[in-house]
Amino acid sequence: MTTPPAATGTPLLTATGVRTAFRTPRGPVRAVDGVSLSLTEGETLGVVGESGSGKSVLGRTLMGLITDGPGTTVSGSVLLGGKDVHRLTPAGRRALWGTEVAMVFQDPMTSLNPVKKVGAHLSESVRRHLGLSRADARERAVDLLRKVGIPEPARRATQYPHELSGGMRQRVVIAMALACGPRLLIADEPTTALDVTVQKQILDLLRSLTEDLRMATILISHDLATVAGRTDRVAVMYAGRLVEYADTAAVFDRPRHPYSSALIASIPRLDQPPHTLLPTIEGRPPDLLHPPAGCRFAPRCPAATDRCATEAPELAAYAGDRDAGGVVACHHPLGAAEEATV
Amino acid sequence: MTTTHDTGPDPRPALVAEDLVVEYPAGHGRTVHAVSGVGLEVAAGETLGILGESGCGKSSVGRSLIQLPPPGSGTVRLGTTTLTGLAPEELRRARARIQLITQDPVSALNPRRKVKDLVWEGPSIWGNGGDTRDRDTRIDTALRDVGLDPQTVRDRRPHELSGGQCQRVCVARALLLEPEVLICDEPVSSLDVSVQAQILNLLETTVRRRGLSMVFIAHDVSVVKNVSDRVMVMYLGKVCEVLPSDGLPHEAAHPYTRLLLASLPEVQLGTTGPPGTTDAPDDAPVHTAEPPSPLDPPSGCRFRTRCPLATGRCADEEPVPREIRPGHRVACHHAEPRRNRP
Repeated sequence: MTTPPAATGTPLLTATGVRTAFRTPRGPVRAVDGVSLSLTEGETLGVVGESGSGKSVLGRTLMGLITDGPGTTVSGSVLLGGKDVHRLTPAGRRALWGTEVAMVFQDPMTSLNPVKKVGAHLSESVRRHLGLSRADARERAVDLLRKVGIPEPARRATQYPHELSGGMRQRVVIAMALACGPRLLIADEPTTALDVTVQKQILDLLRSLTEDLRMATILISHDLATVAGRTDRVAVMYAGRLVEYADTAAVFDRPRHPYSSALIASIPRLDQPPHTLLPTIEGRPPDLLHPPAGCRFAPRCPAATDRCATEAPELAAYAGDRDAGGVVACHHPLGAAEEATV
Repeated sequence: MTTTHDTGPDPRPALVAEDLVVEYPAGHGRTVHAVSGVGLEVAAGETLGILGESGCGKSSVGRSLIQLPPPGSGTVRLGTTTLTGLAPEELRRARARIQLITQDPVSALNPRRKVKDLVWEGPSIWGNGGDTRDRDTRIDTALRDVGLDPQTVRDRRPHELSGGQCQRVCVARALLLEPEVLICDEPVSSLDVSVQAQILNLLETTVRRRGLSMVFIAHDVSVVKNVSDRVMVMYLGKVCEVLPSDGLPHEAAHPYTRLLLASLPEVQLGTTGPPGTTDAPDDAPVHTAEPPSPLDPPSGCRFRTRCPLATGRCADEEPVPREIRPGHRVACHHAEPRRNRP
């Protein structure tokens, strides 16, 4: 049936109790507050949350782009290929980037240097990391462009970013990320800036590359719908914490956390008749300077009780769950009442 | 240029546009053909959705409806007033009757002004609110109508509000002038899913209660379907198809509309199985080419370069919209009415 979210095989990435806080004049903002997750080879994990939920900061912390330093505190451990990203020297981290882990950002235009040709973007990293000669690097660049489905790769390599469409640019950015054969690809909102028809192409490309190259992929998105058909597991974030972490199909079929459930219900769907009023989530996410003491979703949650206001729920396997392995951080997970009577 | 008319049910439409042409100079003697001969009709109390990807001219249509800027050619009639060609002063007066809500609510509001002044901006210019005695009451009512608490927000500035609250202020401000037609250009695309649902519900209930006509422009198929009575699909400055929105999922006949539907993630399609098990609704074309440039649109049918049905005729002869069913018009030589409604 469904593969249990508990990682099978050797994990490629293991993050334990990751916390990232930014110092501000008004106090620390805990953008990521105790997130643990793991990924194995060939697996795709979706990280979903609304703006301010900490999903992008999590992605950057996992990669080591955000580290402990002035203005930022990072704690917990991120093991990547057996090394703790946050215990490495800056040079050690740079050695991981490109070969162990690579990132695809949201806006392909700002990820590319407007005065450098497409091919140069690609040959730069392979020369630096793999030590190829100029000619070999050029050849490798054309290969990479072909791999990400760019027609006429040899000609495209000699063009500048502005000569390419948005979808083509994002393919180039993906090719850059793949240049040194990373084992983990972190894609932060890779399709948000793209049109729907192009969006599908890019997501399909990421999916097939993950399978072909036996990488692991983390797909960070605000859009549940893009994550739905393209990931094995989903982690739903709210106010810096994971609220639900389970098989993608399980989360969409029977969400256990009231927040996941409400979020899924608020997506307009094509099979609803026109003028259907959508279920909404009242209120707004908490201020991360002063998050609520108990469950962070409690002030907006229809099922909240006194306990939720005082005691923060831990991620726990849902008792009696058929979709074994999923975890949810809720004192009153959905579906508890009817299943107790079965 | 051919004109595409769609026939609304009301004999006295609230808004009529005929043969709109919008072109922008692109330097080097080139021209962007943003809109090439688009016509539309919106009945009183009706919502027309305009659907299309970036660069299809949907926003240019929306802007030319309120004469910001006026179209290069073509006419726009609001009730009995012809907006195109009006003297500037009369046009400014007429604009109170047709209001625009834009994509980015934060930049639509002057950051230095307080919410109460922002909302009162229209009446203070138009003088129809010159009666300042009930000014505060009217501001409070307007804010309450869009779900904001006047006590809390009246004296705040835009940066103190969330994106969703700013969009509510924009809606309140537009409604205070008691317009007949509301033009919404991607009003929810910069908002989070849960907030998007709140704003869509707000627009829906407001339009219903006040009997307003609305032109709703967006790229998201499910969102457009949800708010509209009829949907007009645009591609590269031309109308592809106009149909009742409840027929969109199953009756859409134009190959481009089918492509849009096929690009939708499964969750939005509302398929019942777990995500990932289904993909395109049925035989929808899957074509990976990207849209041509509006600088140099293809001859004949503009979609032919990506169309799986394209023949030699499509290159030579521009398809004239034809009615394949009452209220359903398609501009395609090969599209047939579909009868696979479940």
